[in-house]
Order: sequence, then C-alpha cells, then structure tokens
Amino acid sequence: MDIQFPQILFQIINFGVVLGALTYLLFKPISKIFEERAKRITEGQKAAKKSIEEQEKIDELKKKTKRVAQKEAATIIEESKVQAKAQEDEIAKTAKSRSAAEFKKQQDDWQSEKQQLKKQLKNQMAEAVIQTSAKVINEKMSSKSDSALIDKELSSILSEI
Amino acid sequence: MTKVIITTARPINSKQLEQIKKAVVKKYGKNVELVEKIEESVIGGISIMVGSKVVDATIKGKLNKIYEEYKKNNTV
Repeated sequence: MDIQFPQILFQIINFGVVLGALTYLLFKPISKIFEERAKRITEGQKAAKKSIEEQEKIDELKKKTKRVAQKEAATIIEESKVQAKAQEDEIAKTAKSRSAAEFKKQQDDWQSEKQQLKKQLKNQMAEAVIQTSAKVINEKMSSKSDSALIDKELSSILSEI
Repeated sequence: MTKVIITTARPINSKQLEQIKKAVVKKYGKNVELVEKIEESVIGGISIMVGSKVVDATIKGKLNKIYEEYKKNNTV
C-alpha cells in the first residue's frame, strides 16, 4: 500500500472541515448550554445558601424570641408568686387582726355583762336586806320607842326646815 | 298660808306637836297650817314637808337613803 500525499492532505483538510463544523455547530452550543447550566446551578446554590442563611436567621430569631418569651413568662410567674404571697400575708394579717379584735370585743362584752349581772345581784341582795331590816324594825318598833326616836330627831329636823 | 305636813307612823304627842308649831311659826310666821298624816309604811320617825321642802327622818327614808347610797357606790 503506497502513501499518497494528496490523499493524506485531502483527509487532513476533510478532518479540519469536520472539526471546524463540529466546533461551530456542536461544541459551541453545548458549551453555551453547559455554561448556562453551570450558571443556573451556581445561582441555585447561591439562592439555596441564602435561603439556608435566612432560615438560620429565622431560627435564631425564633430561639431568641422564645428565650425572651420564656424569660418574661418566668418573670411574670415570679412576680405573680411574690404578689400572691404578699396578698396571702395581707389577708392572713387582716384576718388575724379582725379575729383578735372580735375576740377582745367578745371578752369585753362578756366582762361587761358579768359586771352588770354582779351589780344587779348585789343591788337585789341589798334591797332584800333593806326590806328584811324594815320588817324587823317594824316588828320591834313600839309607840314608845317611836316617840323617843321622834324626840331625838326633832331638834335637828326643825333646824333644817 | 304656809302648809306644813307632818308624816309619822303613829300619832305624835302634844308636846312634840307644840315644839314643831313653835319652830315653824318662828321661821314662817303665824300664818301656817299644820297637817298631821299617819302612814304606817314609814315604820318610825318623822318627816316634815314645808312647801316643796322635805326633811325626812323616818326609818323608811333612812333605809332608802342607805340603799340609794349603796347603789350609787356599787361599782362591783
């Protein structure tokens, strides 16, 4: 088999034409498609990254909000506990004070009633003594002793009228 | 005329009556009327009322006075 240079040249030219046509008609559009795809992927990655960052920010904000809310809730609960304790103490104090006052009033009333009854009893006893004395004196009194009594009292009575 | 009421449990004797009359006339003049009143409840002694003034020396009056004094001082 002989090497034919014109044939080789033809083949080279033919290869160059095919290469040029392929480069122009296939390689460039495909390259362009790849570039666009790569660009879309990059943009998608950027968007995804941005989205993840935003999500992280939102999550952080949520956590922060939750922490603040929990802290506020704890503060409110603590304040409520303190207020409730203060109210409880106040109510207990008031109740104790009222109870003591009521007890004292009751005692005073009982004491007063007791004194009143004692006084009434003593007066009744004195009245009974007076009535008995009057009865005894009346029984013992005679005209003579009465007249002697009048004589005794008369001078002082007459000086008073 | 001044009215003088003499209250006793029993009638008083004339000497006592005269003594009262003398004292009253001396103090209020001759224009006086003596009224004797017997009340057994006074027990004994004598009470004389001249106008609105009363001098009570009856046993009932004295006992009442003792009772009132006791009541006044009875603070238990």
